[in-house]
Amino acid sequence: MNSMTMQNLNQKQSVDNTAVLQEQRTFAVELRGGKVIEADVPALVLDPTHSWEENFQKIQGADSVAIFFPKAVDGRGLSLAARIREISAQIQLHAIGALHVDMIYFLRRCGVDICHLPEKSKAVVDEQTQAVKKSLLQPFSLHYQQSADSIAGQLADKVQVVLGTQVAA
Amino acid sequence: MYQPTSLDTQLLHERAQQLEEQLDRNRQGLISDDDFKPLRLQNGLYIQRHAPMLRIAIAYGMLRSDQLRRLAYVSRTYDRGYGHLTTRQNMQLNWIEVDDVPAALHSLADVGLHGIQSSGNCLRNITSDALAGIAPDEILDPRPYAELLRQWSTFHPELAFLPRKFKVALTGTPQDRALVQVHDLAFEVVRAKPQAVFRVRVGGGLGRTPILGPVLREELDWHDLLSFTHAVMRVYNELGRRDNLTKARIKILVRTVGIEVFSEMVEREFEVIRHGPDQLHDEDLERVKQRFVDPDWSKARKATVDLKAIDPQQQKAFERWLKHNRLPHRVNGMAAVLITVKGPGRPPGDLTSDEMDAVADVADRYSQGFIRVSHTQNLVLPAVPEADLPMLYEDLRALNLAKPVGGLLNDMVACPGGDYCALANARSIPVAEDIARRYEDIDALESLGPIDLRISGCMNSCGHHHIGHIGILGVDKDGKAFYQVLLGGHSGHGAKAALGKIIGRAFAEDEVADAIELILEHYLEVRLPGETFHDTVQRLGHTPFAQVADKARKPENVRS
Repeated sequence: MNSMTMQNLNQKQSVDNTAVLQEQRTFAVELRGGKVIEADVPALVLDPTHSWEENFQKIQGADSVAIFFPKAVDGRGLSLAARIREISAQIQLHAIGALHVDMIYFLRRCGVDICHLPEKSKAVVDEQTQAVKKSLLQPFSLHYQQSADSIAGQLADKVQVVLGTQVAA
Repeated sequence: MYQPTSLDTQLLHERAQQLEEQLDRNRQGLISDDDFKPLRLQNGLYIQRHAPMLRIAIAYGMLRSDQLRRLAYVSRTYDRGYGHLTTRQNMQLNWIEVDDVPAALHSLADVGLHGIQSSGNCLRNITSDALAGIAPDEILDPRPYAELLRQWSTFHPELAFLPRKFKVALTGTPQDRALVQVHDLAFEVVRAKPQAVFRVRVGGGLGRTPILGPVLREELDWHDLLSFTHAVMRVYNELGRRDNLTKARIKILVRTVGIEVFSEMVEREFEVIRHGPDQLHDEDLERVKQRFVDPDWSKARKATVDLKAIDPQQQKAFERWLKHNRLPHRVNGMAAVLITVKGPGRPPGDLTSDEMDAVADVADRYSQGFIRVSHTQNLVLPAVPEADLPMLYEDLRALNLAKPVGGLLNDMVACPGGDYCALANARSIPVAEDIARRYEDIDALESLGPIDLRISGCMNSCGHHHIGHIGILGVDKDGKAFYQVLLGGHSGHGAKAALGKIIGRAFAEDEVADAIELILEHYLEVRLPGETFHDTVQRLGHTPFAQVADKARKPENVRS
């Protein structure tokens, strides 16, 4: 399949609710400890409906990027996050879009650092600690597979071979 | 079978706890119904036609008596005293209250059962051969590999929000008892030594577009089982259609790009992640194998004389039961016994809570507490000393669970259909019941020989109608239920897998059982000596059967 067809296949599936979602009021949560923090959405926003190769070209040299989720059930953003984390331990990964509090766990496992949740989700933030409940961050005491974080940056060489270009962010 | 570690069990309780909290958040409006839906589905919790439904995974069909007792308890306490065995080695409870689900899941977690990934657009519970580990033709016991895949795919974040559901099966035998050709992804053992090697199929499936899965890779070293699966899933997750539900399964992607291109894409992914964290090592397999406990095969006892029923009056019935319900076993002096959960008065696969308790007792008495669940909605006792068969038969007969119909017409498969399922176009159970009543006589059934009848209430094909020798599919026509009849399908067990073809216009509800009867009568008239129904259909084609079935059509049901 040539890249043009692949592009068509992808574009057919993009959902254009970007404007609506970008206008929603959000607050930021860092996903290591679950604290509410002040953080702007990075200027570079990746669309997971585009191919990962195309997105990899865009992140060259970037310190931080956001992945846009057109729908919570669209798992493409999760694979894109994991792919980016696998080639770079340094890049700061944000998630924006149609997110809800139960996405925190999945985002965290895929190496996302900060997620921007809709304002209404603030009800899950503990007033004292200004953090979300641990059960949202880490509902399970065991995982049967490694998280993207645990191999951060380790697959950069392999991806470079496949793409034939530099990929380090 | 796999014995869960304390951490495995803790995880199941944490999952139940998570669902409880999600239910709370949903009630508080913190997650909308739309956002909650995929989360509850990934615990097997549906909202069905009349009530919620909970689908409990029975990992690759392996069950212990204490687990079956717990299913009895849960179905009695939280449901209406029965459960339904599905065609993917699950048990469904059809009347559970949503608020009771966390408590039910905690109770199931105690014995290692759960609803994790038994539904939703995720990598579903892994299925396998119900005779894994005991089949004489087995090249390799697939269960430790199934367990490795089960563990790895559990809560894998990249497998949780796929374009559509994704079903995986493994088998260790050349005979296909795991329906490998109609799964999204399937692994068939090629050889066991010096290293286990699997053939990989992708993009098979039933539903609206039935396809037998093509081979994606002729040989895959078992160490790459997870990384290769991950590579397939990445391609599918990113390129599977998300704009059209009916075109979202991986089979459509594979068909669109072609298996060669799809294979190139997977191999490219595989090259990147092959030696990453998903790569398996010998110690991973060893760790899982050590958690497997098998029956004590030294308890095998051959019958010293020819087997005789305890009750002489029952001798003929006992012999019939042996003929149809005793399955081959690799251990000399051991028998595997099929308990058909079928027959008139019982929707295929339905067991009452009392029967579950009783079967658990029987399994303890005769099969060291080991039980299997098959994709044909039956139970198997995998470790019965041959000398105990007469006593087992008597006990099962007393429970009305000794119907000698294994592999015969009345061992039919059917989904719950329109009586329960919100998706169904038509009811399956009354059609199954009507046909079962017509063939209650065991002589008539035996005379028909092996026949695999499968009934689905809608296109989603949970009753696997495409791969039955006879398939029945419920369709909706202007608000009324009609039934298409298919012939020529095969599951791949004992012959080449094949998809049945529709024989003509759909039949009305009051015609379909007549049509089946006419087809079967015609078969009896035209068959050659020793020829099975499937063989006869192969030899003569559909036309003569379609013609006789047309006689079932009633003038009042004629449609424009």
